[in-house]
Amino acid sequence: MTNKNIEDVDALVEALADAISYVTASCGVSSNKLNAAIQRSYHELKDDDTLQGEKGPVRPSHRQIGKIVSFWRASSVYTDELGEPSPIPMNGPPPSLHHLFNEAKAQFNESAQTITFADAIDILMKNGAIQETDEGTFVLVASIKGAALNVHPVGGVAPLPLLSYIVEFAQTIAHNIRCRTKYRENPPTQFQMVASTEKFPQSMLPRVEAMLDSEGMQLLRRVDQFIETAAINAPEDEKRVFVGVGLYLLRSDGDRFAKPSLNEVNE
Amino acid sequence: MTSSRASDERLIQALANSVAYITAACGFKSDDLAAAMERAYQELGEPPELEPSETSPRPVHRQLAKVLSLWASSQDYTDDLGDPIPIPKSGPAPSLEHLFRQAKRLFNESAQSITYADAMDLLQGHGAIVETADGTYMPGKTLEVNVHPIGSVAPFMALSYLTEYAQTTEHNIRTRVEHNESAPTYFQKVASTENFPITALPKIRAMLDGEGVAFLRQVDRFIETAARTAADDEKRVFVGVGLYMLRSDGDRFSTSQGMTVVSDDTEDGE
Repeated sequence: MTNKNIEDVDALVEALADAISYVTASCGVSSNKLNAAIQRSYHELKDDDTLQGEKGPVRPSHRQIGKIVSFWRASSVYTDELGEPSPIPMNGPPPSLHHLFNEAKAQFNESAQTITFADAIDILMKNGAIQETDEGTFVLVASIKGAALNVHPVGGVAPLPLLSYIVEFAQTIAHNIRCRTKYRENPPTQFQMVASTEKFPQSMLPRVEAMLDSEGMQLLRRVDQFIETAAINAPEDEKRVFVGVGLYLLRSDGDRFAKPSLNEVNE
Repeated sequence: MTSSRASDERLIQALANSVAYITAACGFKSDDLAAAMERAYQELGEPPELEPSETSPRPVHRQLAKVLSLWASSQDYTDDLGDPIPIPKSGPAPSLEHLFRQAKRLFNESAQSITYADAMDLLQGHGAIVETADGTYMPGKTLEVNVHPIGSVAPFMALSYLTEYAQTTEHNIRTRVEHNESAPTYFQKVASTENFPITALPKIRAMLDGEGVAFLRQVDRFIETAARTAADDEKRVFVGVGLYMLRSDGDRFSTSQGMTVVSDDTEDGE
């Protein structure tokens, strides 16, 4: 592990601490109280043999894989007249997987460790995101959730990328509270909304999950196509920013702010 | 200790539990996080100035939203096209008073309930209901459904959303760590790019305000209808669906990243 990678990981925790401390301080919670709560939690976790995480480098390989697939769906060179991804060979001039990888690579975060072409193809194949046809070309398998576009299932990636998601979520909340304190009227907040109920019948949970898997995924795919197309088509000298849209399910069987029960975890 | 203070303590402990689990899964020790928290608090200096009511844990916004959700999803309160009908303030059903009583049954029982009078004041004050020429009321343009913008609710509510998101993340890591890759996780997905052109920001925001809110309304209608029509003796659970936008102008994880950009940059304005 290089020093730079360590710095990246530490920066993630510093950013998490910044965002959480801002949100909790806004609620009048002192640093002592929050730190005491965290120490208690860590103390209870210390005998948990399943937790053997190592402070490793932040390797955003899933985001890079997602970028390749997004590019395939969004670029006119790689789609047919109906806008559907075309079958392409592994190597050779465009359109090919190798060329697609190189084009997508230009869109990767420059400060991140870049995945190799061989590793990318390996992950895409193992996840069933691409399949080889009888003619020897490769097709994008749209039915594979997450891997089939730049919409990656957070639960399916390693803990470190998950840490970055919660940092980003906390930063959005901190941003919105900052706006609220600075601009009482019409604060320029980031979009962040929730629909929820405390009385949802348990037997209907599969239907909410199905709704997210279909309509929710469709919404994220449209967002993905839009942001990737905009990224591809904008003039090279235009200022670029990080943008993401997240969709998630909240669920609790009993006391929402109690520790998760084993049953809940084991479902 | 008052009940709201107890609620405050539980929320903080729940957030700490999830954050500790997530960071421990990434190989951090308690001292790493404690030191980072200490530094962050010191750099924060004076806490933000907020009205006392804004730090209250009373889930008023969720309860108000529940009233409006019921209006939008109940057969007695919608027309043939499924749109909310105008209703009088009081009297037998359909009326705001009756609607409030019905919604109250769906409030979290452990939470302090808003009164009918306070609910009407707040709904009118927020423009969430408007009086028509004939003295009946209609939903207004804001807070139309049980889809509440987190930026517009009190920080304490924002803290509960952060805790809930952390719990979803913790659940998904636990599932992966304690079981296997194919074990079912809660839906949690992100579409993102590091190269989004800054001039297109208003378009993505418009997309979320349009299609995003439409999707959440669809979810809201579904979950509220299910909550209302299920058998009384069926086990109930908390369910929520959240949609949010992430944005950063520079280094996403530096302490001075994009979240502090709250100046008059036009691409971020509403």
